[in-house]
Amino acid sequence: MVSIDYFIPALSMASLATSLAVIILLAEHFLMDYGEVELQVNDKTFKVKGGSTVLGTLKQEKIFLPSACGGRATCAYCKVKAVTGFGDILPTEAPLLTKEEVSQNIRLACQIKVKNNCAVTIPEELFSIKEFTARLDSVEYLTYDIKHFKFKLLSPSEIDFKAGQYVQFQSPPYGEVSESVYRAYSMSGRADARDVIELMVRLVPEGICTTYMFNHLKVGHEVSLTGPYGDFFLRDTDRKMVCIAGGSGMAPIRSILSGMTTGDIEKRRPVFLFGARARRDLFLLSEWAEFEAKHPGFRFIPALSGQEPGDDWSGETGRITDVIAKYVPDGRDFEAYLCGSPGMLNACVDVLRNLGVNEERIFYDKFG
Amino acid sequence: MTSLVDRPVKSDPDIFETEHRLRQGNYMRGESRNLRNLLEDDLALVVSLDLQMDFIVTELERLYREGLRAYGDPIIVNGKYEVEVREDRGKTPCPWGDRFFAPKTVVSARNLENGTILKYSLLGLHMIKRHGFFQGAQSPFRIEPSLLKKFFDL
Repeated sequence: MVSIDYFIPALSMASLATSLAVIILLAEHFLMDYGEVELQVNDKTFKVKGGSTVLGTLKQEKIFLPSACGGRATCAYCKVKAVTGFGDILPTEAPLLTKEEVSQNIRLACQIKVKNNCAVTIPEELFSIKEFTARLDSVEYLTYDIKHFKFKLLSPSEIDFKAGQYVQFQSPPYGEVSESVYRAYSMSGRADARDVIELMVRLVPEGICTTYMFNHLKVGHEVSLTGPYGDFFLRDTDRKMVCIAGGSGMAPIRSILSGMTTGDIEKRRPVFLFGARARRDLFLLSEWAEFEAKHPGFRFIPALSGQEPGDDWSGETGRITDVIAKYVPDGRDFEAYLCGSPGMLNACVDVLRNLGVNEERIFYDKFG
Repeated sequence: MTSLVDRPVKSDPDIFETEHRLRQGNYMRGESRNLRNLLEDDLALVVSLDLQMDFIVTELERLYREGLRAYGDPIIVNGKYEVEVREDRGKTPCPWGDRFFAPKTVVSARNLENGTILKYSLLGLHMIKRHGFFQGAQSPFRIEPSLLKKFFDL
Protein backbone atom coordinates (compact mmCIF):
# COMPACT_ATOMS: atom_id res chain seq x y z
CA MET A 1 0.00 0.00 0.00
CA VAL A 2 1.29 3.44 -0.88
CA SER A 3 1.79 5.80 2.04
CA ILE A 4 0.57 9.33 1.87
CA ASP A 5 3.90 10.53 3.24
CA TYR A 6 5.42 10.65 -0.23
CA PHE A 7 3.73 13.92 -1.04
CA ILE A 8 5.10 15.78 1.99
CA PRO A 9 8.03 17.39 0.09
CA ALA A 10 5.64 18.70 -2.54
CA LEU A 11 3.38 19.90 0.23
CA SER A 12 6.22 21.91 1.78
CA MET A 13 6.95 23.58 -1.55
CA ALA A 14 3.28 24.35 -2.03
CA SER A 15 3.02 25.81 1.47
CA LEU A 16 6.03 28.01 0.74
CA ALA A 17 4.46 29.19 -2.50
CA THR A 18 1.18 29.86 -0.73
CA SER A 19 2.96 31.81 2.00
CA LEU A 20 4.77 33.94 -0.58
CA ALA A 21 1.51 34.62 -2.39
CA VAL A 22 -0.10 35.72 0.87
CA ILE A 23 2.84 38.03 1.63
CA ILE A 24 2.62 39.56 -1.84
CA LEU A 25 -1.13 40.08 -1.48
CA LEU A 26 -0.71 41.67 1.96
CA ALA A 27 2.07 43.90 0.68
CA GLU A 28 -0.06 44.93 -2.27
CA HIS A 29 -2.97 45.66 0.04
CA PHE A 30 -1.04 47.73 2.55
CA LEU A 31 1.83 49.21 0.56
CA MET A 32 0.58 49.70 -2.98
CA ASP A 33 -1.52 52.80 -3.56
CA TYR A 34 -2.78 52.98 -7.09
CA GLY A 35 -4.58 56.25 -6.38
CA GLU A 36 -7.46 57.42 -8.50
CA VAL A 37 -7.65 55.95 -11.98
CA GLU A 38 -10.10 56.05 -14.85
CA LEU A 39 -12.16 52.99 -15.69
CA GLN A 40 -13.98 53.22 -18.97
CA VAL A 41 -17.00 50.97 -19.36
CA ASN A 42 -18.42 51.09 -22.88
CA ASP A 43 -18.85 54.84 -23.46
CA LYS A 44 -18.93 55.81 -19.78
CA THR A 45 -15.87 56.82 -17.78
CA PHE A 46 -15.64 56.45 -14.01
CA LYS A 47 -12.99 57.88 -11.71
CA VAL A 48 -12.34 55.07 -9.26
CA LYS A 49 -9.90 54.06 -6.55
CA GLY A 50 -7.39 51.65 -8.06
CA GLY A 51 -6.45 48.28 -6.64
CA SER A 52 -9.71 46.34 -6.62
CA THR A 53 -11.04 43.82 -9.09
CA VAL A 54 -13.12 45.02 -12.00
CA LEU A 55 -16.09 43.15 -10.52
CA GLY A 56 -15.76 44.89 -7.16
CA THR A 57 -15.02 48.27 -8.69
CA LEU A 58 -18.05 48.09 -10.95
CA LYS A 59 -20.21 47.10 -7.99
CA GLN A 60 -19.06 50.27 -6.22
CA GLU A 61 -20.29 52.16 -9.27
CA LYS A 62 -23.63 50.31 -9.05
CA ILE A 63 -22.95 48.19 -12.10
CA PHE A 64 -23.79 44.61 -11.23
CA LEU A 65 -22.28 41.89 -13.37
CA PRO A 66 -23.73 38.40 -12.98
CA SER A 67 -21.72 36.48 -10.38
CA ALA A 68 -22.66 33.38 -8.45
CA CYS A 69 -19.39 32.48 -6.73
CA GLY A 70 -18.58 35.68 -4.89
CA GLY A 71 -15.51 36.43 -7.00
CA ARG A 72 -13.71 33.12 -6.53
CA ALA A 73 -13.31 32.36 -10.23
CA THR A 74 -15.56 29.37 -10.27
CA CYS A 75 -18.85 30.41 -11.89
CA ALA A 76 -17.43 32.33 -14.89
CA TYR A 77 -20.55 34.50 -15.11
CA CYS A 78 -18.68 37.81 -14.83
CA LYS A 79 -17.00 37.87 -18.22
CA VAL A 80 -16.10 41.25 -19.70
CA LYS A 81 -14.16 42.27 -22.77
CA ALA A 82 -10.87 43.88 -21.77
CA VAL A 83 -10.05 46.75 -24.09
CA THR A 84 -6.94 48.30 -22.51
CA GLY A 85 -5.03 48.26 -19.25
CA PHE A 86 -4.90 44.60 -18.28
CA GLY A 87 -2.07 42.10 -18.50
CA ASP A 88 -1.95 38.52 -19.61
CA ILE A 89 -4.56 35.91 -18.80
CA LEU A 90 -4.15 34.83 -15.18
CA PRO A 91 -3.80 31.17 -14.16
CA THR A 92 -7.09 31.45 -12.30
CA GLU A 93 -8.89 32.59 -15.44
CA ALA A 94 -7.41 30.25 -18.02
CA PRO A 95 -9.49 27.13 -17.25
CA LEU A 96 -12.70 29.11 -17.56
CA LEU A 97 -12.06 30.78 -20.91
CA THR A 98 -12.34 29.20 -24.33
CA LYS A 99 -9.68 29.77 -26.98
CA GLU A 100 -12.12 31.96 -28.84
CA GLU A 101 -12.77 34.04 -25.71
CA VAL A 102 -9.06 34.44 -25.09
CA SER A 103 -8.58 35.63 -28.69
CA GLN A 104 -11.34 38.19 -28.11
CA ASN A 105 -9.76 39.45 -24.87
CA ILE A 106 -12.62 38.16 -22.76
CA ARG A 107 -11.62 38.15 -19.10
CA LEU A 108 -13.08 37.34 -15.70
CA ALA A 109 -14.00 40.59 -13.97
CA CYS A 110 -13.53 38.98 -10.57
CA GLN A 111 -9.85 38.29 -11.29
CA ILE A 112 -8.48 41.27 -13.22
CA LYS A 113 -7.68 44.38 -11.23
CA VAL A 114 -8.03 48.08 -11.91
CA LYS A 115 -4.45 49.31 -11.36
CA ASN A 116 -4.20 52.05 -13.96
CA ASN A 117 -6.39 53.72 -16.55
CA CYS A 118 -8.21 50.89 -18.27
CA ALA A 119 -11.27 50.06 -20.32
CA VAL A 120 -13.72 47.19 -20.57
CA THR A 121 -16.90 46.62 -22.52
CA ILE A 122 -19.96 44.84 -21.17
CA PRO A 123 -23.36 44.08 -22.66
CA GLU A 124 -25.33 47.33 -22.62
CA GLU A 125 -28.27 45.78 -20.76
CA LEU A 126 -26.09 45.18 -17.69
CA PHE A 127 -26.27 48.91 -16.95
CA SER A 128 -29.92 48.47 -16.03
CA ILE A 129 -29.19 45.85 -13.37
CA LYS A 130 -29.78 47.03 -9.83
CA GLU A 131 -29.34 45.74 -6.32
CA PHE A 132 -32.65 45.47 -4.49
CA THR A 133 -33.62 45.18 -0.88
CA ALA A 134 -36.89 43.33 -0.58
CA ARG A 135 -39.13 41.97 2.16
CA LEU A 136 -40.67 38.52 2.03
CA ASP A 137 -44.42 39.14 2.09
CA SER A 138 -45.74 35.65 1.56
CA VAL A 139 -44.59 32.11 1.00
CA GLU A 140 -46.59 28.99 0.21
CA TYR A 141 -45.97 25.41 -0.82
CA LEU A 142 -46.90 24.69 -4.43
CA THR A 143 -45.87 21.04 -4.12
CA TYR A 144 -44.06 19.06 -1.45
CA ASP A 145 -40.71 20.48 -2.66
CA ILE A 146 -41.54 23.71 -4.50
CA LYS A 147 -42.34 26.97 -2.76
CA HIS A 148 -43.73 30.22 -4.12
CA PHE A 149 -42.07 33.31 -2.61
CA LYS A 150 -43.48 36.78 -3.02
CA PHE A 151 -41.17 39.70 -2.17
CA LYS A 152 -42.15 43.35 -1.83
CA LEU A 153 -39.43 45.62 -3.17
CA LEU A 154 -38.27 48.23 -0.66
CA SER A 155 -35.26 49.91 -2.25
CA PRO A 156 -35.41 50.61 -5.10
CA SER A 157 -39.17 50.15 -4.92
CA GLU A 158 -39.65 49.05 -8.52
CA ILE A 159 -37.99 46.72 -11.01
CA ASP A 160 -38.14 47.00 -14.76
CA PHE A 161 -37.80 43.53 -16.30
CA LYS A 162 -38.83 41.47 -19.27
CA ALA A 163 -41.01 38.48 -18.47
CA GLY A 164 -38.75 35.41 -18.48
CA GLN A 165 -35.69 37.08 -16.95
CA TYR A 166 -34.08 36.06 -13.67
CA VAL A 167 -32.67 37.62 -10.51
CA GLN A 168 -29.81 36.56 -8.28
CA PHE A 169 -30.83 35.91 -4.71
CA GLN A 170 -28.29 36.41 -1.95
CA SER A 171 -28.37 33.80 0.77
CA PRO A 172 -26.61 35.17 3.88
CA PRO A 173 -24.42 33.10 6.21
CA TYR A 174 -26.48 30.81 8.48
CA GLY A 175 -25.83 27.80 10.64
CA GLU A 176 -22.62 26.15 9.49
CA VAL A 177 -22.61 28.18 6.26
CA SER A 178 -20.06 30.92 6.77
CA GLU A 179 -20.34 32.82 3.48
CA SER A 180 -23.02 34.48 1.41
CA VAL A 181 -23.91 32.67 -1.79
CA TYR A 182 -25.81 33.86 -4.83
CA ARG A 183 -28.20 31.75 -6.88
CA ALA A 184 -30.20 32.55 -9.98
CA TYR A 185 -33.99 32.17 -9.99
CA SER A 186 -36.41 33.05 -12.75
CA MET A 187 -39.10 35.53 -11.85
CA SER A 188 -42.58 34.07 -12.09
CA GLY A 189 -44.77 37.14 -11.78
CA ARG A 190 -46.05 39.62 -14.33
CA ALA A 191 -43.54 42.17 -15.52
CA ASP A 192 -46.03 44.99 -15.02
CA ALA A 193 -46.25 44.27 -11.28
CA ARG A 194 -43.13 46.33 -10.74
CA ASP A 195 -43.06 46.46 -6.96
CA VAL A 196 -43.10 42.70 -6.48
CA ILE A 197 -40.73 39.86 -7.29
CA GLU A 198 -42.20 36.36 -7.34
CA LEU A 199 -40.02 33.24 -7.35
CA MET A 200 -40.81 29.53 -7.56
CA VAL A 201 -38.02 27.58 -5.93
CA ARG A 202 -37.50 23.84 -5.72
CA LEU A 203 -35.64 22.55 -2.69
CA VAL A 204 -32.25 21.22 -3.72
CA PRO A 205 -31.08 18.43 -1.39
CA GLU A 206 -28.30 19.95 0.75
CA GLY A 207 -28.43 23.11 -1.41
CA ILE A 208 -27.08 26.10 0.53
CA CYS A 209 -29.43 28.71 -0.88
CA THR A 210 -32.63 26.69 -1.14
CA THR A 211 -32.13 25.30 2.37
CA TYR A 212 -31.89 28.89 3.58
CA MET A 213 -35.02 29.86 1.67
CA PHE A 214 -37.04 26.84 2.83
CA ASN A 215 -35.89 26.54 6.44
CA HIS A 216 -34.62 29.92 7.58
CA LEU A 217 -36.27 32.68 5.55
CA LYS A 218 -39.48 33.88 7.20
CA VAL A 219 -42.21 36.32 6.22
CA GLY A 220 -41.05 39.83 7.13
CA HIS A 221 -37.33 39.11 6.62
CA GLU A 222 -35.41 41.43 4.33
CA VAL A 223 -33.26 40.00 1.54
CA SER A 224 -30.94 41.23 -1.17
CA LEU A 225 -31.38 40.52 -4.87
CA THR A 226 -29.80 41.79 -8.06
CA GLY A 227 -31.27 41.82 -11.51
CA PRO A 228 -32.83 41.56 -13.95
CA TYR A 229 -30.57 39.22 -15.92
CA GLY A 230 -30.90 37.02 -18.95
CA ASP A 231 -31.97 36.91 -22.53
CA PHE A 232 -34.83 34.47 -22.04
CA PHE A 233 -37.91 36.52 -22.87
CA LEU A 234 -40.76 36.61 -25.36
CA ARG A 235 -39.68 37.49 -28.88
CA ASP A 236 -41.84 40.01 -30.70
CA THR A 237 -43.01 37.85 -33.60
CA ASP A 238 -46.28 36.41 -34.92
CA ARG A 239 -45.17 32.79 -34.75
CA LYS A 240 -47.08 30.09 -32.93
CA MET A 241 -45.65 29.29 -29.50
CA VAL A 242 -44.94 26.10 -27.66
CA CYS A 243 -43.78 26.45 -24.06
CA ILE A 244 -42.35 23.42 -22.28
CA ALA A 245 -41.44 23.18 -18.62
CA GLY A 246 -41.21 20.87 -15.66
CA GLY A 247 -41.19 21.58 -11.92
CA SER A 248 -40.11 25.08 -10.93
CA GLY A 249 -39.35 25.67 -14.61
CA MET A 250 -42.92 26.87 -14.74
CA ALA A 251 -41.74 30.20 -13.28
CA PRO A 252 -40.55 32.12 -16.36
CA ILE A 253 -43.23 30.57 -18.58
CA ARG A 254 -45.91 31.82 -16.19
CA SER A 255 -44.33 35.26 -16.27
CA ILE A 256 -44.26 35.29 -20.07
CA LEU A 257 -47.76 33.93 -20.69
CA SER A 258 -49.50 35.97 -18.02
CA GLY A 259 -48.08 39.15 -19.50
CA MET A 260 -49.28 38.51 -23.05
CA THR A 261 -52.20 40.53 -24.35
CA THR A 262 -55.42 38.81 -25.38
CA GLY A 263 -54.68 39.80 -28.97
CA ASP A 264 -51.21 38.24 -28.88
CA ILE A 265 -52.55 35.02 -27.38
CA GLU A 266 -55.22 34.71 -30.06
CA LYS A 267 -52.63 35.40 -32.74
CA ARG A 268 -49.85 33.14 -31.43
CA ARG A 269 -52.02 30.34 -30.00
CA PRO A 270 -49.55 29.33 -27.24
CA VAL A 271 -49.62 25.79 -25.91
CA PHE A 272 -47.91 25.11 -22.58
CA LEU A 273 -46.71 21.52 -22.13
CA PHE A 274 -45.93 20.83 -18.49
CA GLY A 275 -44.20 17.60 -17.54
CA ALA A 276 -44.58 15.98 -14.12
CA ARG A 277 -44.21 12.53 -12.73
CA ALA A 278 -47.40 12.25 -10.71
CA ARG A 279 -50.39 14.34 -9.80
CA ARG A 280 -48.69 15.55 -6.62
CA ASP A 281 -46.07 17.26 -8.83
CA LEU A 282 -48.69 19.42 -10.56
CA PHE A 283 -49.55 22.87 -9.26
CA LEU A 284 -51.47 26.03 -10.11
CA LEU A 285 -53.96 23.91 -12.08
CA SER A 286 -56.88 26.19 -11.27
CA GLU A 287 -54.89 29.25 -12.29
CA TRP A 288 -54.13 27.70 -15.68
CA ALA A 289 -57.75 26.58 -16.07
CA GLU A 290 -58.88 30.16 -15.50
CA PHE A 291 -56.29 31.39 -17.98
CA GLU A 292 -57.57 28.92 -20.57
CA ALA A 293 -61.14 30.01 -19.97
CA LYS A 294 -60.17 33.64 -20.42
CA HIS A 295 -58.06 32.98 -23.52
CA PRO A 296 -59.55 30.36 -25.88
CA GLY A 297 -56.37 30.49 -27.97
CA PHE A 298 -54.30 29.09 -25.10
CA ARG A 299 -53.94 25.48 -23.97
CA PHE A 300 -52.32 24.12 -20.84
CA ILE A 301 -51.33 20.46 -21.28
CA PRO A 302 -49.95 18.70 -18.21
CA ALA A 303 -48.51 15.26 -18.83
CA LEU A 304 -47.77 12.63 -16.18
CA SER A 305 -44.93 10.23 -16.78
CA GLY A 306 -45.55 7.88 -13.87
CA GLN A 307 -48.83 7.97 -12.02
CA GLU A 308 -49.27 7.03 -8.39
CA PRO A 309 -52.13 5.02 -6.89
CA GLY A 310 -55.23 7.21 -6.66
CA ASP A 311 -54.07 9.73 -9.23
CA ASP A 312 -57.18 9.13 -11.37
CA TRP A 313 -55.64 10.87 -14.35
CA SER A 314 -57.30 11.23 -17.73
CA GLY A 315 -54.89 13.73 -19.26
CA GLU A 316 -51.75 13.16 -21.31
CA THR A 317 -49.38 10.47 -20.14
CA GLY A 318 -45.74 9.74 -20.88
CA ARG A 319 -42.65 11.86 -20.80
CA ILE A 320 -43.01 15.38 -22.05
CA THR A 321 -40.82 14.55 -25.04
CA ASP A 322 -43.44 11.96 -26.07
CA VAL A 323 -46.20 14.55 -26.07
CA ILE A 324 -44.59 17.38 -28.04
CA ALA A 325 -45.29 16.06 -31.56
CA LYS A 326 -49.03 15.93 -30.95
CA TYR A 327 -49.12 19.67 -30.29
CA VAL A 328 -46.40 20.78 -32.68
CA PRO A 329 -47.52 19.18 -35.93
CA ASP A 330 -45.31 21.35 -38.11
CA GLY A 331 -42.35 22.82 -36.26
CA ARG A 332 -41.57 25.31 -39.01
CA ASP A 333 -44.42 27.51 -37.74
CA PHE A 334 -43.30 27.49 -34.13
CA GLU A 335 -41.15 29.31 -31.62
CA ALA A 336 -40.29 27.32 -28.48
CA TYR A 337 -39.73 28.54 -24.90
CA LEU A 338 -38.28 25.97 -22.52
CA CYS A 339 -37.37 25.83 -18.84
CA GLY A 340 -36.46 22.78 -16.80
CA SER A 341 -33.67 20.41 -15.90
CA PRO A 342 -30.67 20.29 -18.25
CA GLY A 343 -31.45 16.73 -19.34
CA MET A 344 -35.06 17.53 -20.14
CA LEU A 345 -34.05 20.67 -22.01
CA ASN A 346 -31.56 18.83 -24.18
CA ALA A 347 -34.07 16.10 -25.00
CA CYS A 348 -36.78 18.63 -25.86
CA VAL A 349 -34.44 20.60 -28.10
CA ASP A 350 -33.68 17.38 -30.01
CA VAL A 351 -37.37 16.58 -30.43
CA LEU A 352 -38.24 20.12 -31.50
CA ARG A 353 -35.41 20.18 -34.01
CA ASN A 354 -36.59 16.90 -35.49
CA LEU A 355 -40.07 18.38 -35.79
CA GLY A 356 -38.67 21.21 -37.87
CA VAL A 357 -38.39 24.00 -35.31
CA ASN A 358 -35.53 26.25 -36.32
CA GLU A 359 -32.89 26.02 -33.58
CA GLU A 360 -32.60 29.80 -33.50
CA ARG A 361 -36.23 29.90 -32.44
CA ILE A 362 -35.75 27.62 -29.44
CA PHE A 363 -35.18 29.72 -26.33
CA TYR A 364 -34.21 28.63 -22.83
CA ASP A 365 -32.38 29.88 -19.76
CA LYS A 366 -28.67 29.50 -20.12
CA PHE A 367 -27.88 29.54 -16.42
CA GLY A 368 -28.29 25.76 -16.02
CA MET B 1 -4.56 -1.64 -3.80
CA THR B 2 -6.12 0.35 -6.57
CA SER B 3 -4.35 2.79 -8.82
CA LEU B 4 -7.38 5.03 -8.52
CA VAL B 5 -6.86 6.05 -4.95
CA ASP B 6 -3.23 7.00 -5.50
CA ARG B 7 -3.94 9.71 -8.04
CA PRO B 8 -5.57 12.42 -6.01
CA VAL B 9 -2.97 12.88 -3.35
CA LYS B 10 -0.27 13.39 -5.92
CA SER B 11 -2.40 15.86 -7.85
CA ASP B 12 -3.16 18.07 -4.90
CA PRO B 13 -0.17 18.66 -2.70
CA ASP B 14 -1.66 21.63 -0.84
CA ILE B 15 -3.73 19.51 1.47
CA PHE B 16 -4.22 22.14 4.18
CA GLU B 17 -5.84 24.59 1.80
CA THR B 18 -7.95 21.79 0.37
CA GLU B 19 -9.07 20.68 3.80
CA HIS B 20 -10.12 24.23 4.60
CA ARG B 21 -12.26 24.36 1.46
CA LEU B 22 -13.74 20.93 2.15
CA ARG B 23 -14.71 21.90 5.67
CA GLN B 24 -16.21 25.19 4.48
CA GLY B 25 -18.30 23.33 1.96
CA ASN B 26 -19.53 20.78 4.50
CA TYR B 27 -17.75 17.92 2.76
CA MET B 28 -16.06 16.92 6.02
CA ARG B 29 -19.06 17.25 8.29
CA GLY B 30 -18.61 15.55 11.63
CA GLU B 31 -14.95 14.80 11.04
CA SER B 32 -12.47 15.18 13.87
CA ARG B 33 -9.82 13.53 11.67
CA ASN B 34 -7.77 15.74 9.40
CA LEU B 35 -7.98 15.23 5.66
CA ARG B 36 -4.80 13.23 5.51
CA ASN B 37 -6.02 10.77 8.14
CA LEU B 38 -9.45 10.57 6.57
CA LEU B 39 -7.93 9.73 3.19
CA GLU B 40 -5.65 7.16 4.78
CA ASP B 41 -8.47 5.52 6.73
CA ASP B 42 -10.74 5.29 3.70
CA LEU B 43 -7.92 3.99 1.57
CA ALA B 44 -7.30 1.27 4.15
CA LEU B 45 -11.01 0.49 4.18
CA VAL B 46 -11.10 0.17 0.40
CA VAL B 47 -8.12 -2.17 0.50
CA SER B 48 -9.51 -4.29 3.34
CA LEU B 49 -12.81 -4.67 1.49
CA ASP B 50 -10.91 -5.54 -1.67
CA LEU B 51 -12.88 -2.98 -3.66
CA GLN B 52 -11.78 -2.49 -7.24
CA MET B 53 -12.53 1.20 -7.39
CA ASP B 54 -12.01 1.57 -11.11
CA PHE B 55 -14.79 -0.97 -11.67
CA ILE B 56 -17.05 0.66 -9.10
CA VAL B 57 -16.60 4.17 -10.47
CA THR B 58 -17.31 2.89 -13.98
CA GLU B 59 -20.51 1.24 -12.77
CA LEU B 60 -21.66 4.33 -10.86
CA GLU B 61 -21.09 6.43 -13.98
CA ARG B 62 -23.04 3.91 -16.04
CA LEU B 63 -25.99 3.96 -13.63
CA TYR B 64 -25.99 7.76 -13.85
CA ARG B 65 -25.96 7.73 -17.65
CA GLU B 66 -28.74 5.15 -17.83
CA GLY B 67 -30.81 7.02 -15.25
CA LEU B 68 -30.39 10.30 -17.09
CA ARG B 69 -32.40 8.91 -19.98
CA ALA B 70 -35.55 8.92 -17.84
CA TYR B 71 -35.52 12.71 -17.18
CA GLY B 72 -36.12 12.35 -13.47
CA ASP B 73 -38.28 9.23 -13.50
CA PRO B 74 -37.13 5.93 -12.01
CA ILE B 75 -35.70 3.49 -14.53
CA ILE B 76 -34.68 -0.14 -14.17
CA VAL B 77 -31.10 -0.84 -15.26
CA ASN B 78 -30.03 -4.40 -16.12
CA GLY B 79 -33.17 -5.68 -14.42
CA LYS B 80 -31.33 -5.27 -11.12
CA TYR B 81 -31.07 -1.61 -10.20
CA GLU B 82 -33.78 1.02 -9.93
CA VAL B 83 -32.15 4.36 -10.70
CA GLU B 84 -33.48 7.87 -10.42
CA VAL B 85 -31.46 10.91 -11.45
CA ARG B 86 -32.41 14.29 -10.13
CA GLU B 87 -30.93 17.27 -11.95
CA ASP B 88 -31.05 20.80 -10.63
CA ARG B 89 -29.81 23.82 -12.48
CA GLY B 90 -26.36 25.12 -11.78
CA LYS B 91 -22.94 23.64 -11.20
CA THR B 92 -20.79 23.13 -8.13
CA PRO B 93 -17.02 23.67 -8.34
CA CYS B 94 -14.93 20.82 -7.01
CA PRO B 95 -13.52 21.97 -3.65
CA TRP B 96 -10.21 20.31 -4.49
CA GLY B 97 -9.55 23.25 -6.79
CA ASP B 98 -9.11 21.21 -9.96
CA ARG B 99 -11.47 23.44 -11.96
CA PHE B 100 -14.02 20.68 -12.32
CA PHE B 101 -17.62 21.87 -12.26
CA ALA B 102 -20.11 19.19 -11.35
CA PRO B 103 -23.72 19.54 -12.47
CA LYS B 104 -26.02 19.61 -9.45
CA THR B 105 -27.14 16.06 -9.96
CA VAL B 106 -28.00 13.39 -7.44
CA VAL B 107 -28.37 9.71 -8.32
CA SER B 108 -30.56 7.50 -6.15
CA ALA B 109 -30.17 3.81 -6.86
CA ARG B 110 -31.64 0.67 -5.30
CA ASN B 111 -30.43 -2.86 -5.74
CA LEU B 112 -33.73 -4.63 -6.34
CA GLU B 113 -32.34 -8.00 -5.28
CA ASN B 114 -30.96 -7.11 -1.85
CA GLY B 115 -32.70 -3.77 -1.22
CA THR B 116 -29.49 -1.77 -0.70
CA ILE B 117 -29.95 1.91 -1.43
CA LEU B 118 -27.14 4.15 -2.65
CA LYS B 119 -27.36 7.90 -3.08
CA TYR B 120 -24.54 9.87 -4.65
CA SER B 121 -23.91 13.24 -6.22
CA LEU B 122 -21.90 13.73 -9.38
CA LEU B 123 -19.50 15.87 -7.40
CA GLY B 124 -19.11 13.08 -4.86
CA LEU B 125 -18.42 10.61 -7.63
CA HIS B 126 -15.82 12.93 -9.13
CA MET B 127 -14.12 13.37 -5.75
CA ILE B 128 -13.82 9.61 -5.34
CA LYS B 129 -12.60 9.13 -8.87
CA ARG B 130 -10.05 11.93 -8.98
CA HIS B 131 -9.14 12.49 -5.34
CA GLY B 132 -9.92 9.25 -3.51
CA PHE B 133 -12.14 11.30 -1.21
CA PHE B 134 -15.32 9.67 0.08
CA GLN B 135 -16.31 12.72 2.23
CA GLY B 136 -16.67 13.05 5.98
CA ALA B 137 -18.48 10.59 8.20
CA GLN B 138 -21.58 12.77 8.51
CA SER B 139 -21.47 14.46 5.14
CA PRO B 140 -24.80 14.05 3.38
CA PHE B 141 -23.26 12.53 0.28
CA ARG B 142 -20.56 10.38 1.79
CA ILE B 143 -20.35 7.10 -0.05
CA GLU B 144 -19.49 4.43 2.49
CA PRO B 145 -17.08 1.87 0.99
CA SER B 146 -18.85 -0.97 2.80
CA LEU B 147 -22.14 0.15 1.26
CA LEU B 148 -20.59 -0.03 -2.20
CA LYS B 149 -19.56 -3.61 -1.55
CA LYS B 150 -23.10 -4.54 -0.53
CA PHE B 151 -24.76 -2.54 -3.31
CA PHE B 152 -22.76 -4.25 -6.03
CA ASP B 153 -22.89 -7.69 -4.37
CA LEU B 154 -19.11 -7.90 -4.24
